[in-house]
Formats: sequence, C-alpha cells, structure tokens
Amino acid sequence: MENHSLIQRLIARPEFGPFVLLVVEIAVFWSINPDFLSPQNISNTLAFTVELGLIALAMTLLMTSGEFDLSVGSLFGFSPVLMWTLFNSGLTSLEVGFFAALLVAALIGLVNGWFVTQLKIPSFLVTLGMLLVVRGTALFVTDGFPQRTWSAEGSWLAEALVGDFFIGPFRIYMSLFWFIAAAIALGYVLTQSRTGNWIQAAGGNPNAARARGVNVSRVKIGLFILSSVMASLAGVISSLRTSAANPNSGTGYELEVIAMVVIGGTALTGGRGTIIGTVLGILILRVMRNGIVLIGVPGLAYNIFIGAIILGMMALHSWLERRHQAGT
Amino acid sequence: MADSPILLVRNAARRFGGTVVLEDMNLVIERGSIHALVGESGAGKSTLIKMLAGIVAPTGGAIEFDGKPAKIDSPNAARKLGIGVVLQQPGLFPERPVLANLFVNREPLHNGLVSRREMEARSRALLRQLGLAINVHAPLGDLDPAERQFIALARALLENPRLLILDEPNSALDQRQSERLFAALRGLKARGMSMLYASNRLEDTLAIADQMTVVRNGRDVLSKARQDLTVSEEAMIGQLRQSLFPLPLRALPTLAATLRPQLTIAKLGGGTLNGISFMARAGEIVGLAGLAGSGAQELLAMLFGQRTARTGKARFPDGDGLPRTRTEAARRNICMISGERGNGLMPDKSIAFNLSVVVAGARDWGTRWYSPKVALDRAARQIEALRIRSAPETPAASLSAGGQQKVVIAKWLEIGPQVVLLDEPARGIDIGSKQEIYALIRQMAASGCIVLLHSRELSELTGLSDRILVFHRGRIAGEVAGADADAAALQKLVAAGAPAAENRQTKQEGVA
Repeated sequence: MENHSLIQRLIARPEFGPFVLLVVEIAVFWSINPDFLSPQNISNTLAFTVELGLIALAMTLLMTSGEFDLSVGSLFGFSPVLMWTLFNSGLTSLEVGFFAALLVAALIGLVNGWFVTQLKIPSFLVTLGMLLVVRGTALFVTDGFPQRTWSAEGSWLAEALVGDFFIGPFRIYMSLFWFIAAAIALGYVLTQSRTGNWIQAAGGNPNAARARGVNVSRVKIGLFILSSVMASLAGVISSLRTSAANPNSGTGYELEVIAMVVIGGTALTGGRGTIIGTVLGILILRVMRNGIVLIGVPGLAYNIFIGAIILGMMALHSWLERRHQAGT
Repeated sequence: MADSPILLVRNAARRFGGTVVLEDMNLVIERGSIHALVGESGAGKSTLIKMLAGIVAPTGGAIEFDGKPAKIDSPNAARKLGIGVVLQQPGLFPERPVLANLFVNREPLHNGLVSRREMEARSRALLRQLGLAINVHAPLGDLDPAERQFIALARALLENPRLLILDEPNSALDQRQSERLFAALRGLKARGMSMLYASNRLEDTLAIADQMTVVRNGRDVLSKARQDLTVSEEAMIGQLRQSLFPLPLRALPTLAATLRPQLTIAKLGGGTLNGISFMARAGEIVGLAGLAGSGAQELLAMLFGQRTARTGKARFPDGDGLPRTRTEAARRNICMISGERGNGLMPDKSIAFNLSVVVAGARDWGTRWYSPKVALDRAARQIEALRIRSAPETPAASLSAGGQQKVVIAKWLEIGPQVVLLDEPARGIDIGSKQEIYALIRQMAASGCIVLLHSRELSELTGLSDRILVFHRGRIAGEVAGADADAAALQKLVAAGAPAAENRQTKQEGVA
C-alpha cells in the first residue's frame, strides 16, 4: 500500500511527464547512434545547454509569478557586446565592463518590471518593445559587426565563468557549476522560502495575495531584474567560451527558453512553477537538437521536432488537468 | 477603556460612481460578543465588511476600534489593528497546498527556509478544533467547498485577531457543517473574542448572535440585543424581503396545460448528477434549490450545452434533445443568465454592442451583416423597456452591477427565448435592480417561456417560483409547491441527508 502510493505520487507529480520524455528521447538516440552518449558529445551538449539553462531558470520564477520576458534573447546578445565595447575602447578593465553589463541588464529589467506593474501593460507588449530596443542598440553600437574578443585569456573572470578542465574523459566548463548552483538556489527559493510563496501567490491569485499584504509589484519587478541579469550573465559566458561577441547572437532564444519552461510543467498563466521540470525541459530541447543531428536528420528540421514536442506536452498537460478535474 | 465597544462605526458611507451602497451606516460591537449583521444581499453588508477589512475605502463617516479612532486604509492596517476577516469569497490559492494557504506571507522561518514542521505544529490543534481531518499537504483545490470555507476561517484565526469578521460564512455549508461552525464560534466567544457575523439567513443569526443589526438599503434600520427582540420584530425582519417580489402575473396562455410546450427531462445523469427527471411547462417558473455542488448548477450547464450528459434524455419544446454547444443552445432559443460577475458581458463594449452579440451569433436579422444602425435601434428599445438609465453608446462597464445584469438579460430577450435558465440572476446587485429583475422574470414566464431558476437564496426561490425542486448530492431530494413553501422547511430539505462521516472518509482515502 505504502509502496503503491509512493509510485502513484511520483506519477502524479507534474515533472513526471517531462522526465519520461527525456528518458525516451535519450534511449531512442542512443539506440540509433551509440556515439550519442560518448563523453565528447555529452561535454559539447552540456556546454551550451547550461547557458540557455541559466535564462530558463530565472524565467521559471518569472512565469510562475504570471509574467514572462521576451527581451532575454536580445540581452544575451547585447551584454557581451557592451562588455567588449567598453573593454576594447580602453575605458575599463574586462571585469568592470562585465559588472557594468550586468548593471545595465538590471536596469533594463527594472524598466520592464516598472512598465508591467505600474503602467499595467501586459508583459508581452512591454518585453516585445524592449526586445527591439535592446537588439537595436546592440546593432547600432557595433554597426552590426562582431566585437574583438581575443584578449580574455588568463583573466580571472574568464577562468571563473568558463574555465575548463577534464574529469576523466569529460571536458567540463565552470559554467556547469554556476548552472547547478543557480538551479539549487532558485529551486529552494521557489519551494522552500517565503519569497517563493510570494511568487506563487502573486501568480496564482494576485488580488488575494495583495489582500494578505504581499507586495505583488515588488516581487514581479525583482523577478524581471533577475531574468535580465541571468540573460546577461548567460550571454557573457557564451561569449567568453566561444570567443565571439556578435550583436545578433541570441535571436529567438526567448521563445526557446519559454518553450523549455513550459515543457517542464510551469503554467504559462502563472501560479504553478517547477525548477526540476525546467531543468528537464532544458535537457529535452537541447538533447533533441543534438540528437537529431547525430542520427542524421538535417539540422534545419530541428524546429519541426521542437514544435511537435511543445504541442504534445501541452496536449498531455491539458488532458491530465481535465482528468484531474473530472475526478474531483 | 475596558468597557468601550471594540468597534464603533458612525455614519459610514460609500458610493461607487453614482450608486450609493452605504449611507449613514452605524454599528456598535461590544467586547466578547457575537454581533449579527442581517440584511438582504445587496443591502450593503459586504461593502461595510470590506470597509472594515481595508479593501474598500469609505467615502464618509468614522470608525473607532478599541476606543481609538482608526484609519483602515489597507488589509495590513486592518490586520495590525487585530481585525481578522473571512470574506464571502476568501482569497485562497487552489493550486497550492493547504499549509501554504494557511500561512501565505506569514510563514514561520527556520534558518531562512519555510518550516513545514512548524506550520504543521501551529495549525494542527486549530484544524482539529474545527473538525477538519484533511491532508494539509494536498492542494487546496482538492477540498470540497465547505472544507475550504473552514480553511479560510482557520487562516484568519491563526493571526489571533481581536475582532473576527465573517461574511456569509455558512453559505457553502450544510446543516451539520453549520452547526460545527457555530460550535467553533461559540468556543471562540468563550475565550473572549468579539465577532461580526453577516448573513442573510435570519434563522442562523438568531441561533448564534448576542446582538443584531438589520441593514437595509445601506442604513441600519434596527439594532438590538437578541433577547430583547420581540416576536413581532423577528417577524418584521423576516418580512423585509416579501415586498421585493411582485405578485405573480397569472396570464397563462389559454391552451390546455397538456398542449403547452414543455421541457421534459428523463433520468439525466453525468458529473455529480444522477437520475434527474422532471417536467417544466411554458409559463411556469421552476425553482432549483440546492447547496453548492448539489447539482442544480450543473443541470443548468447541461441544459445549455456547457456540459455533456452521460445518461438520460431531454426533450425541449422544439422537439430536440440537449444542445451540444452553447451556440446551438442560443440558436434554439435557449438562454442562460448567470449572476456570476463578468459572465456574458463585454465590459469594454457599448451597451448596444452587448445587446446585439447574441442576436448576431444566433441568427441573422434580415441582413447578413452586422448593422450598427439596427443594433442601436434595438438597443434603444431594450434600454427603454428595461429602464437601463444610460445611452446605448456608453460602455457596459460604466453601469452599476444591477444595470449590467439588466443588459445581460436584455440581450437574451432579443432572441425571444423559449427556455430561460437562470443561475443566481440577482446576486450581488442593489435592491432596486433586483426588484426590476424579479418583475422581468415573472414577465418572461407570463409570456410563455419555460423558466428554470437556480438560487442559493431561498427567499428568492419561494418568492418567485411556482414550485421548487430541491437538489441534494446530484439527485432531486423533493419537490415543494411555491405557494406553501416556507423558508425553514425548505432549508431543512436542502440540507437533508447531511453528508455522512463515512463519505468524507472515503474521499480522504481517494486523495491519499
């Protein structure tokens, strides 16, 4: 009985669907091409996965509070451009440039949050506008050309963010540890802290939350800032790792990130969010991108699969929800 | 200051736009007593309570709490004073666990993290005292409405308020649960807590209150201690509502009863419903009584094509069975009017547009295209007929709740409905509009509609219906003729066969 209900409870968890999907995905790719689980492939997949993952983690909290942020992709491209421009012009050291980029990102998040909470404009419109503003700025500042980036070698910042080393045959970047730390920290915040309760209350029933003295606006503004800063951090990490700062990079990431969060089981309408689900969602999409190339499907067909996964997972969620409601 | 009243409200007033909801309201609550606030819904009780809860700001008057002038401008201010409020629609979070609901924004911390153990420890005794045997880690949405009501009460009590305010706390409860609630409230009183208990059920308030204040049209019309209440005053309070209902218009079509169009339901089942059979004739108002979850609302949804029936048959006057969708229902002259706020109204659109949406969806009006001119003409006609005091171009949101509801009714009248389904059609609106809506309902029946009326206000049912079907746990528990229905007997029938303890038990196991 006890055992039985444990399994049932596991199945009832919102993360169960994504988990099964991930396992199936890995099994299928591995059976078709055993190289899929080779250390080199795993290392390569992880390196970029965690960069998008950082954004998805912050987006999970933001979406749980009932908002979302379309400007993260632009920030992913803009922040490294800003950092390198400052550095290359000789104004600042790389480190100061880095913190300046994070600060600007935080300001952008603040503006997003202020528009959404104080002017009561839907976050879709606000962040769509911000997406264009930020991307436009990046293109304007750089004249559309990539920035010089080759002098980061040896800087402690580069070491701390993307320093790499080998564990056995696996090449691991420091960014993986940042991702794991962020996932654990934000997971705790969402489920175990008072802030997490504010976030879920703000997304679930904002009026009731206000009636209980939760400062819904401040929570949302804070999360907009968090999401911008994480996008900026991810952009810088990616730029340092690949030694490139292209003003066009990150285009379309906002939708991919939102897809990861939603596939993981976070409600688009707010009130329900799960960091574990998001981690699974991140892996599902990135493994898919990597896997279909390895088994010989043209890379350009990737989006077909992503779209199909999103539709399938949403259908599953909605079916589970309806079945649950019929049961009560 | 020990013998000053805990709460004193003087000349409180509140207007919403042009509508006066409260005017010159006075209230004195003695320490350690249960003070009842009695009045029809729409009399201003809820507004007064929201004022005391810091949700609605008064436009006039003064409030004293504990002998000192108080300014309650936010929910937090109310809480700091020691006022705990359980609203009619308590702000709960259905997706979150029970514990999270109990402690929103007051979570005990342990090393910076929310301490589940302490939340459990702090709530355990209280929940047991309220007779709640529930899994505190399950989502609140899994609980039944009565349990949620108790959770809302528990949440207020966890703050140890000095004055507890309850707005219609037992509207979702059956007889036994009500008694459990009353027992809990008496226990709190014994420990010195003061309470304000708002209700429109006189019987309940007589059972529990020490003092009572009767509210009518935003004023206090009578305030007395329970034991000083004379029989005639009791009767008067009971009678207040009678004047609301128009005398029945008995102008039935001259056809013999068997020839009149009728709606026949045979052994309908699905959802919580089970074996529902009855017949309703044109010109008749059939009341559907029942608590939340009793199935009365579900039946209306089924007849309107919002839910599908699993078993059974229905035969509408046009000879067909249940509509499969709402559009089909509207096209077959079946209409549904619900008192649920925001239901069926597009607040940003003009009154004229609102009036024409159903028509445009349900049938063409001579021409294929939507014609603003025709719409305006029709709207002007309805506005005059229903005495909606506004121009057809004004947005529907600018009307009072009562005016909005009249627009909702008018839009359905445009298609000349054959079957009218009413779901609490007059909830939460002012007395004047209520009266007019009641008259409209009578008129619809008199003009040959089949009217099914569901309401949780029994006075509404007894005042309007020709006969009343009482729903209980998805079945029809009995039928009462409207003429000889007295509220007390009906109340008993509605709560009859109170859910047995074993029923709750099985639900628990199902959840775990």
